[in-house]
Amino acid sequence: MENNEILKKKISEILKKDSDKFPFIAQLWEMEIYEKNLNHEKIEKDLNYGHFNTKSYKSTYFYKPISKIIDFSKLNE
Amino acid sequence: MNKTYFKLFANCIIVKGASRATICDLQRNKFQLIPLSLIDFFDDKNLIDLEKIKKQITEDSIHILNEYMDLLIENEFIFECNLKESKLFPSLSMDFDYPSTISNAIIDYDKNSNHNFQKIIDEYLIPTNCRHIQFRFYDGIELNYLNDIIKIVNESFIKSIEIIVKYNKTIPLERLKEWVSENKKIKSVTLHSYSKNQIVQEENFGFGIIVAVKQEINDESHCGIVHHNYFNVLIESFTESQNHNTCLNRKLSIDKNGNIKNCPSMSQSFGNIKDTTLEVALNHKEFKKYWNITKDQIEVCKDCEFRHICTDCRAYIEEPENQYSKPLKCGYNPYTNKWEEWSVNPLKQKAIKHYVMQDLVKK
Repeated sequence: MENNEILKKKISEILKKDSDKFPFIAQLWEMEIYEKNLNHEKIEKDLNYGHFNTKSYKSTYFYKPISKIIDFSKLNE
Repeated sequence: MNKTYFKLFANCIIVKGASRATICDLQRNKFQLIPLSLIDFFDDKNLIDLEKIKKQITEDSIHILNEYMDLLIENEFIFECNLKESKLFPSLSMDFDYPSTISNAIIDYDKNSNHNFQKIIDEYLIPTNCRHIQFRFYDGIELNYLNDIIKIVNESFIKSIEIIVKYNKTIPLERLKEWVSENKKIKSVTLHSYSKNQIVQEENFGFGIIVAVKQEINDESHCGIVHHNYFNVLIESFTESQNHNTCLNRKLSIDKNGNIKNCPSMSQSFGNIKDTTLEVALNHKEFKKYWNITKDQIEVCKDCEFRHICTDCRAYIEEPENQYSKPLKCGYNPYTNKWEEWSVNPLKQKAIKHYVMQDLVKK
């Protein structure tokens, strides 16, 4: 856990310095480090930060129907 | 002594229709039907002066007034305040914006399609910051194929996907449930052409829903259905509806032939993914043609009390030559407040023929 915090600080420094690659706000992004148990022997650390290019599984769904192809009037038949 | 008023909460918006109205509670995501006479109680600042109204109505009508007030109070649409306090509650901004050029996408696929999904996501969706995709497979496909697609999605910043796919008996439902549970970005899987209508797996925080439906969906002409189950009482869609089209605004679609469109059901294409870049398609002067057609501009819809919680359709309309005509597949009449089967309406038969939907409506 402590290592993760050190890691977060280091990454934050990188984001701060590399202003060409990341928006200025990057240094303030919230970070989430989680461990992926690939199999029983190998554990890989993965990082998500903010919402820029994030692959986070903390997902939200779209706010309205994307299409209206399911005919609800026929669901009770 | 301070006079007491009742003020409508800022998140509760009255939408007036031809013969009744709705109060849309954008915070609780629900709506309440109300009679038009109730709207007249509110002044232009959404205040009810109860004392004044009581003086204006006959004694016989007092019990109706009381019933109306009970309805408004019980549902927490209004609160008591004095005039000075009421000024502390400004109305809600109806501005809409969204942090992406394209907010949602539809990708259609059938047995003759040959899409490069990696290319579509990398070159057409990621650059526009699009994070929500619906995949519609008109024919059955293998789970391995779906798995290849989900791998691309999992490795991207796409947030949610919906899958509509023909039921394939080689994929046991139990295996499908496991697969959906493993892939957290799947909002829903709808199996069409199944033997019965069934909820296979309930939602888990809004994700991982699996439903099977009897409906056979063999092409995009099945889309565009207006039904109350599609109503959406959310601040995002409600505010979008004030200035934009609720279906087509910021939508990008790739049809089953790889054509880039605003909606797969529309005939106009802006190029093909094989030879047209995103930039060329998006910058086509007609790509955003329907984005700003609002429900307030559409015939009949503009008199409908559900107009700001309903999702429009411009692909199939009652009068194909009039882009402001009512959605063809809407069976609601805001003048009589009745829902009827749209496909048997004599006034729609000409349009049904125009879109060659005769076989579809027979089913």
